[in-house]
Amino acid sequence: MVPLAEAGVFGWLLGLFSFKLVSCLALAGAIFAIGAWGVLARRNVLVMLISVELMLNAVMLTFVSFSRALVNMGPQLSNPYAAEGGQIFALFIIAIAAAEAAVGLAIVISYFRNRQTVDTREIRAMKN
Amino acid sequence: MNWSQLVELLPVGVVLAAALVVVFLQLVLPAKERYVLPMAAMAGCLLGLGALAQNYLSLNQFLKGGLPWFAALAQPSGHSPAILNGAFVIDGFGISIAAVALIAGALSVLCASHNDDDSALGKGEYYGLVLLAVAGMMLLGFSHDFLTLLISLEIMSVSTYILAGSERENVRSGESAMKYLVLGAFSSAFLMLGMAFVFGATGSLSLSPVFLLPNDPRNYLVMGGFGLILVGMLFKVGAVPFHFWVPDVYQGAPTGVTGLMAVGVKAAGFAMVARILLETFGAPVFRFQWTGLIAAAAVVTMALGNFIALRQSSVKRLLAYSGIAHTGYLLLAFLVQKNANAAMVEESLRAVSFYLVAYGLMTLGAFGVVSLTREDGRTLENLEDYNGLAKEHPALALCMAAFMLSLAGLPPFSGFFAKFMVFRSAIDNGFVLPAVLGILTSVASLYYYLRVVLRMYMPEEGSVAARCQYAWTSNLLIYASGLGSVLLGVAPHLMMGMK
Repeated sequence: MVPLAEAGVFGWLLGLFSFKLVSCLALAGAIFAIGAWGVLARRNVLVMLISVELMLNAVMLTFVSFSRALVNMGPQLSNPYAAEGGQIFALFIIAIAAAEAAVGLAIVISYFRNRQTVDTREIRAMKN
Repeated sequence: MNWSQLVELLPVGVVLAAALVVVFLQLVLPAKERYVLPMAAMAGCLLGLGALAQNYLSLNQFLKGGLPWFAALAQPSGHSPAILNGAFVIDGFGISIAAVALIAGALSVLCASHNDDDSALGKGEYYGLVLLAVAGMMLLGFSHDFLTLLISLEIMSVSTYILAGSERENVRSGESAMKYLVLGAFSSAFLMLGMAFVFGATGSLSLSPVFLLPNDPRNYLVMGGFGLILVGMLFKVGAVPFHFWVPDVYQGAPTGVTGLMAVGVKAAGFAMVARILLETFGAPVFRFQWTGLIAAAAVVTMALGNFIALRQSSVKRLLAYSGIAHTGYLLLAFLVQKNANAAMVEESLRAVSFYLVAYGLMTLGAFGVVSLTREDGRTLENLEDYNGLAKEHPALALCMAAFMLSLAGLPPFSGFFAKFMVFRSAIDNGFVLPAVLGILTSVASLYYYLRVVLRMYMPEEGSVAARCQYAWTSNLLIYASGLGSVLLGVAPHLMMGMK
């Protein structure tokens, strides 16, 4: 990053928003890890579904940042247009996340009507 | 881009159209004419099979100029020109996956059609979702691009989440749907992140082989991506250590849906595994690194699946653990040695497609029989409920015995030849120890399969006789799968296109 003294306040602020692949990936990794921890550690199915959504958002961020980095590489790639695929992929993941959320909420509500609970410690009607 | 190539995806289009028609009919038909719905859904499956046969014939002609009939099955990865810039390819492997998916869908439809209670089973949306799931499985068999692979996987999975919970007033069904949903979505997230890593390293979404120089730092990215993809894939096919959802989900879901999951979802999952392992990561430098992992997963899966199945009292749960064990056997077929040539990879792909078709027929038949043993709208799934089935329903019991022996891998049934192919492929590639362990566990599995057969033919003293519904449609499908199992066992060359 350019030092504050050289760039001026405005330039320094712009530098903050300039694209850095590594920082984007670190952020995505952190979000993914938080989501995975949420699914494994929390006991409420609704919170687990929210955590899955978090993981999907991290994947989207990964795709979009890789796509941006690859487009910047541009002419070095054998097929420069293929790099745009990451953006398209992110759009499809949005659709998938929406479908999973809708179906997930419906299943949770239908279960809640039967049992009045969505706590994973209570959900064990079947055993060996 | 040549849009006219889309005609080759006609089988999928037919099934999708049938799904829409069934849901629409549910809206407009009065309640007493709803018996048309399963017929429309069955028509969709049969038309799909017809369109698939047409695909097969044209592929065959493309590969061999018309003769012999089995050219496309003998070289499962030979394909006609790719569709939509390589998003889909039509090859013999994909066609056999799609055929298994369509037959599994037909069983699901039939199982629900003789359901007389008031649940969502046997309503229009049930048939519509079955057809949507089948369309997803077929697309998964043909897809050749990370994007289409993921979309078809999700079309299939989201439909099966809903189907698993379609007996709304049954707590077990809801529980099964919930577990399947949370764990399925969790594993898809890993799969997607892995795809993102591979995309970042190669800049392409195609499934064609990854090629990087050995000292390229992007190799680490590919390795990480491969690990994440492997976790997601093993989850989907139910291999140890990611198998724990299988028994609960299979037991809780309505039996017809369990059949669809055990056969269709597994076949589609293995289509994904085959494409990604043997093609995307098929270069010797990668193969050297994953064969050890796959061998370990296969051995643990076979051992654990079979040994837990030994002490199950519910037939559905027993079949679930047997399904886990068969996942292990199937993984053996992917063990291709480092310096294998294209012909050996082809051979292992052929073993996979034969195993999936044979396993599909016998498992579908077994779940068909389980779905018929019901009373008062409740599935009788315990081993005791099969006491003396042979006396009450000799033909059904005979078929069930055939399926059990075939699953155990006894000749002259298809299961024997399927296992033989898989073990031979592993031994040819130098993985002798996993293959020997596979043979040993498969001998052990004979015990629990024979327990079911013994219950049917030698009922315990003073037990209640088995009760079974009669539905000629399902019976017909069960007899057909029984016949298919014997036929593929006696004349396997019909599907191998050789010898």
